[in-house]
Amino acid sequence: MKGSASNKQLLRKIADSRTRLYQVALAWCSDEMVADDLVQETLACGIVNAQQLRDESCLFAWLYSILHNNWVKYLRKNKPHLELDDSQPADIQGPMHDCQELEIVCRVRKAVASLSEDQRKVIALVDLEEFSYQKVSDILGIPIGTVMSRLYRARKRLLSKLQHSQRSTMANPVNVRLVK
Amino acid sequence: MKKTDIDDITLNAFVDHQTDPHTAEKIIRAMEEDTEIRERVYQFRRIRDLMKLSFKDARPPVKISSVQKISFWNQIRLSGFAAAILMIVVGISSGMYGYYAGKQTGQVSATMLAKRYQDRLILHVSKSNPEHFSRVLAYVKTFLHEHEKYAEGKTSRGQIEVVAHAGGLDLMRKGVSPYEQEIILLMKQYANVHFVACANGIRTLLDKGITPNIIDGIPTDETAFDRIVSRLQTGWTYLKVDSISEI
Repeated sequence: MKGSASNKQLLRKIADSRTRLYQVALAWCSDEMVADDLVQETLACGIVNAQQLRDESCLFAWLYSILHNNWVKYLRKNKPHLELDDSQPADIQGPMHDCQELEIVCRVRKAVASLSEDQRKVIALVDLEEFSYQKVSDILGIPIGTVMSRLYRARKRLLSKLQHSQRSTMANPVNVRLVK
Repeated sequence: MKKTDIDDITLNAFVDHQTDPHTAEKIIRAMEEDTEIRERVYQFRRIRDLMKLSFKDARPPVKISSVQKISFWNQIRLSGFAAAILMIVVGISSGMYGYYAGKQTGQVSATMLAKRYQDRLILHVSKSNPEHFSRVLAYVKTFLHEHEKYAEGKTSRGQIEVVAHAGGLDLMRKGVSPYEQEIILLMKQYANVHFVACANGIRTLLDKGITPNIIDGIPTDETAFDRIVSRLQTGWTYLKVDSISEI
């Protein structure tokens, strides 16, 4: 085991990464509770196996590899995995629709949920974590060319989904009546 | 440069700063000359920014148990991160001792732990594996018997806790666990053995339409992770069922 000071620092970083991991997990699975489960599993595994990490600069890539393994395990257990379609609601409802920014958040999350699982994994790691393509390739265990093509397809699809949803919103404006 | 020279995959790489300087320079020049390329780059950047915007405020859900417990994460906020982490380090250092002792000597003996410590031991079961269940139960019984002998006439008593999540919950489910009666008996006979069923695991079962039917008396309001971390903070020894299987 490493010295207690560096151990302390490492464990601090692992514990600190909960929200980061959660955001990516949420983008992958579109379910708050499942995302939280995945992150908890990942953190528990990270804390218990912290001594196995030789290079601390690889901590986040290592944690995301664990998260990815947990996600793959989850999908295997919870087959069949169905691609979500447009009719499924986003996980946010209610008053937040009043706020324009949150409406955008809703639309984007819904569009992300409509991507294929492979596309979601790549786009979340690149856009949310800003990992290099090489690092994403290492984390997911896929060739760098595959990372690039999946990312491109994911962004293209998001673009089209969002343009489509924007058109729908504009086509069905909310009727507001001014009351004096 | 013609716009057809630059494909969308390369433009994405440019947006993500993943191109070499030469390619980046070519794209910048092309953007100055060609509004269509500029627009494509803008669209990919927009998508990237929207992704960030849409997940930047996502936070793990706060779980509130029936008891007003202070979670590990709240403790960090309330009492300072350093103190909490120090407790974890101490907890894990001692907790992991059992694991490494087992690795080095080839076994993690319940007898050894029962005698060596006035110990508090937390066992973690995560798979629905009858062999694992059998080992866990055997381990618990050995620990309790040995500890009973060791602690005879002394006030301090060791404690052992089995925390189950995911498939491991089957150990604690009525009508599913092959050890239902043994668990009930152990809980009746010994005050220092506890079984805990993970709240998240239970919810996952419910989401699948499965009624978990956890054995009466087993608490279900805490997640396995929170339980393990809170135990490690207070000096419990952690053992995953895999390390028991090395006996």
